[in-house]
Amino acid sequence: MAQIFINGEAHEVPEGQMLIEATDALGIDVPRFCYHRGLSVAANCRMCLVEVANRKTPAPACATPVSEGMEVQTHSEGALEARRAIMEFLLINHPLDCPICDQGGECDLQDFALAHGSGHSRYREPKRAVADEDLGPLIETEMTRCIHCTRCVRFGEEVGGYAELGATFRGEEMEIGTYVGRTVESELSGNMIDLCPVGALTSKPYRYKARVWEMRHHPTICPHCPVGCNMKVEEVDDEVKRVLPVTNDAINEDWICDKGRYSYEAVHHDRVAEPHIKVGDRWRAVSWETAFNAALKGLRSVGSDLAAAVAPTATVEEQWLTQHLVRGLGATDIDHRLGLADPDLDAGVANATPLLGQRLVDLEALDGALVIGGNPRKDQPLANHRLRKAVARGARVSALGPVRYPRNLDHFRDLVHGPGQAAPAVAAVAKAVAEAGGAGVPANLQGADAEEAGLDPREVQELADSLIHGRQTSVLVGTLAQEDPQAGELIRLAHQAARLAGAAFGYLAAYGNSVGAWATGCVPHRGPGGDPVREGRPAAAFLASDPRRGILTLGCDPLVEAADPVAAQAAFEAAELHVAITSHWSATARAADVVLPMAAYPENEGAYASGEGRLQAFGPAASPVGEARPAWKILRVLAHTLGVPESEFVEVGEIRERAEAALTRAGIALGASPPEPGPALEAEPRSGPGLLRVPARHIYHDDLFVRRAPALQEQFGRLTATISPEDAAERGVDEGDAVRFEGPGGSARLPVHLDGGVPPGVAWIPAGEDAASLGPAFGWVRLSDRAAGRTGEAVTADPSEA
Amino acid sequence: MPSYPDDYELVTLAGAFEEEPHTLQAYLDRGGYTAVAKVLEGGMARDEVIAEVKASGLRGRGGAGFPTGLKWSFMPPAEGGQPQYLACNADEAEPGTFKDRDIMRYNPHQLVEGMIIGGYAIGATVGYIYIRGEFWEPYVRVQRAIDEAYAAGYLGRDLFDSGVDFDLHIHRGAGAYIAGEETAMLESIEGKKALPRFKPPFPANYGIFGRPTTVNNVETLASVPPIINRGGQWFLELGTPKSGGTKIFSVSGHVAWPGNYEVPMGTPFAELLELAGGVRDGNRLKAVIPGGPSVPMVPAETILETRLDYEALGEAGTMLGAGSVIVMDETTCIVRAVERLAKFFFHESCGQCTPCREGSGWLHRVIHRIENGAGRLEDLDTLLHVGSRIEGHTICAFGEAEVAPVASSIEHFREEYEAHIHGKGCPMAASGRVSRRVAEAG
Ligand code: SF4
Ligand code: SF4
Ligand code: FES
Repeated sequence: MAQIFINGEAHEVPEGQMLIEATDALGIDVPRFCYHRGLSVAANCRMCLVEVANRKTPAPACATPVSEGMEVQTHSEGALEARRAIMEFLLINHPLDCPICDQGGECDLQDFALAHGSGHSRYREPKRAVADEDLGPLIETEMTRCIHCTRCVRFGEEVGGYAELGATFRGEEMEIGTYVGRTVESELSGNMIDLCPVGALTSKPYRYKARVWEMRHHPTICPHCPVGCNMKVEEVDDEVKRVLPVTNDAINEDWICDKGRYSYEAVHHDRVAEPHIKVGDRWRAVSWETAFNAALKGLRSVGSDLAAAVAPTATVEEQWLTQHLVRGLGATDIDHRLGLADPDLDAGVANATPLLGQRLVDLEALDGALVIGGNPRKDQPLANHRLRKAVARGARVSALGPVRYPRNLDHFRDLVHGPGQAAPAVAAVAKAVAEAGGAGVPANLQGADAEEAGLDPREVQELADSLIHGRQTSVLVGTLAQEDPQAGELIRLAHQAARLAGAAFGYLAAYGNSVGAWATGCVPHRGPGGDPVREGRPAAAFLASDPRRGILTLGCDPLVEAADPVAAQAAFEAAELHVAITSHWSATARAADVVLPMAAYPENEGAYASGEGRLQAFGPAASPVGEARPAWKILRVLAHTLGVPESEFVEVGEIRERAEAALTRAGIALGASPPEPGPALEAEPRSGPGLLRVPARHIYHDDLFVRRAPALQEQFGRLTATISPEDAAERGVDEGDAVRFEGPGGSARLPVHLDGGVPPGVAWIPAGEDAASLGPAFGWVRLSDRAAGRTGEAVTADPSEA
Repeated sequence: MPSYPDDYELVTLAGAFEEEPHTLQAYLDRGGYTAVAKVLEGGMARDEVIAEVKASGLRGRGGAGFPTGLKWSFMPPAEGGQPQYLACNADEAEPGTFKDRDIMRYNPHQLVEGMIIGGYAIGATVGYIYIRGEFWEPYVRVQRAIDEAYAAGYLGRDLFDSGVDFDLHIHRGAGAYIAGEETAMLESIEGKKALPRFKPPFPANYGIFGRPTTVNNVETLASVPPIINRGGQWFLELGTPKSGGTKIFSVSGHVAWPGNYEVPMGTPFAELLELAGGVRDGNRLKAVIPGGPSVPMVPAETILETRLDYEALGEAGTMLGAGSVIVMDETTCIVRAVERLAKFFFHESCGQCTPCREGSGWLHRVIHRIENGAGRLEDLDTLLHVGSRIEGHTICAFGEAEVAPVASSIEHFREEYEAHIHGKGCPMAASGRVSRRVAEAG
């Protein structure tokens, strides 16, 4: 600690800190444009100038380390005069178009001009103007307003992980841009808008939608991924206008990803605004009473021959209540793991609650980690950010999976195993760990062979060493691996590798409330809190070959999201009754008999359990559109009317109490470890004809809500099949060709992208609307004979004809 | 041609009047590479080398005039395995400065030898020479000198069997003036855009690739071998007690024989002027910028009474800078000359920090307006005030540099500005007296 004097008062501050960190901590106001605590120091705006005793010139507080005895004046006439000068300089070339600028009301330049500027300008010369760039559907630019603070540039390099914006030209002509007219593609790009202290970068979807001072703010939690970013929804007159991050150092720091930021647009698109029933082939909008009567009649008729599919983005209250209803009716089939392709998971790993096994902040402190079968950059962007920070500190973070994803951090080893070799590859790593540990190789790993799994044994050994020799290391099972047809095997082997290495074990869960769904009993073999129940069958069964007479879907879209959407289609067709509780129209809603409109997340209240085991509650930011109601109210009416005992809930809090109790019984707590998955067996490869499909989802095509958000869909473009250049050459296929793929369930025509990160024998075709017709997500596909030879067909081919 | 006294000995421009002076053989004939032998073979300790340089009174010849020996002593001791660097600033982009160019053309081996010695003294095993991109011949000659030195065993591993290694690379600039600012140069060597770094940390702690680095000018480093060979005291006595040695002055502008003149520190300006053949055409001297455009200009009366060393020029209200003496005779329109310089600084600001990025354009536009007849009297106060808010508020010294010509010209030649304002235009242009050469340059 050092003693320094600020404005004459003595303070103890940590030695070596920059002055601005000290003044921020003490609540002393020092204005700034370029400094941001999450970025490196640039010291270019000079707005933070203060006076330091014995220095001839004013010093930038952001770049001046404190030292013992330092005397600082933050508000002396000299400091104020320096800032007045900076403000004058900044404004001479600024367009001063505040009346038509979206930043107005939350603009640092505006605020500081008021606080530190003078009322008039002496500048009488011509002003600079800068041509705009189109950065894509998410960020609007007005570069004449740019004050060259380089926050956006530094963000790209330091947080986004690659430089998308940079400064070209010199002096007054310096321009911020992409160099070559590209769009900005980082999944974290929206944060640059928040960072931009002026109106140079603003939100495109939000453009001219509201003035900041007329909006009301409602804290909320992002439903999309297990990080559970803290956010706020802003609304005017009950209309949602935008979403911004809320700083939480333990979770998302100052950032959110673009999915969380822009998915709110779905609130206004493709909503189910009224209850509907299908009469013959036609939809009829009806009153709640009519719709309820139809649903109740159907549910009474199917009785316990009922299955329920619940969204992993539903709240714990909705999840608890759905299983309460379904089990109360004597039914047993309930699941939230629509994409899970391993029908035997529950037999092998009784409890695969996807806890991270540590706190998010702990990821930052790791010095070694292995992510198996996942792409945290896109699946859990702000968990990935913690891993990036660990790497920046020198941690060795590795990946192992069926494809090499485009990364934004430097992996120590980024291993791609052969097609179908997921489990043998993990076994090879576990074996290498065992060998390096010197305690003998367990029997089930004796036969493991890195080379046979398509890996370089030396690299496997180095990876194993990095896990053993770290002080604090982790093995994390990624989203894709959790849904693999061999998920049970993979999870047990990953756990075995972690145990052998002395590493922590955890999961990178798929969705914002996957953990809650497990803990509240939205799995067929465990009740709330793991209570014993009469065991049912998983979605992989009831959404496939063995349907029930009745199906209830809550907030999900199995016809796109199921492990086999074609089989799910057949199950829906076979069912007598399908009640869909949904906020949006979807393939699934259209296949229903009764559609009950529910509130979308910004209109909802409830809580999610995050991957690190944190239960976070939020309230509604707006009223549900039209006749839509919060799902818990819909479920309550159904349960109560059908005579399910203990269903007289008046407040959502009463349900939360039960859900929370279930979470506690299930051992969900901050940083808690996931349960032991049971002993690992010998690993078997999978094989089949053609190319193995890897269905890792696209970040903007992941759940129903985001699929209905227009700007994100524009950024997404369309679903693309990525194959290896080798396979493409063999089949005469070129980048961008529209190619017909044939899977076990049917075919789909998709534009092809070539990428060396995909090994020969593999086709990365994300699960999604355009790929549903192929059938099993983890199936084997062939390029149709008709596609052999260059098609030259336009990429805009209509996916629906497939 | 100007001539030095018969017994005059050139230190850094040695050999300039010989045939093919830049070859290794010519340098060896002049006694080259004996200093580095004395250091490495003779077993001089690092501290002894630094002490000798301290004793010589050698100060940085790039413009800032920081004592070289002291700068070298700031380098931390080399840690095992991790490189430290010596960077030679050969960016020489200050208008009117062309001295390093001639050292590199005529005496490149002396620079190479100086770098080996300097590298040893500061514990650097790698050196970079950052050569201004527009310099072709100097680059070719320095590269040839490096190649010759490698072939002869003066560069590379285990020099003179001393266990000392030194590798030397050339990095060519791409034409930005600001790349001559030492930390911008480091960025450029790293392959980035040349933007000055905020200091602290200083290069001695955080230089190229974050490693301790010392940056010295060409002339500074070329002065080192003679200092080692003949002793710091000898060098010191060439000049004045506080400004040791000789200094090359690049004399340009309105003199009969523009060119480089290496003279002892403390030489009266009048003598240098005489050496350069005096003011051209018998015209009267009007003003001189003694150290390049980034130092204040001084009127004839003052400079004619001044000696050329750090202290005397300081007392005259200006600086020695890089020794770039720009001579302006009575035909010069000061406003037009300053407008030209302001345009230069406007064009060359790197643009990262607010006062310089915005202020350089402001200064230029106002002076341009005055020169072109649209000035207002209050503009002069605005110029001075804006200047005072640039100086001392920026990341690098470019801020002071861009203000120097503006503030000093208003101080000394205010009436010329006022004449422009009252007469709504340039009185000298109107009378046809304005120097053609200056007018063309503008
Ligand atoms: S666009 Fe905004 S954030 Fe980027 S440099 Fe300009 S003012 Fe700063
Ligand atoms: S003073 Fe000028 S040249 Fe120096 S860093 Fe600032 S903008 Fe760049
Ligand atoms: S905040 Fe310190 S210089 Fe910009």
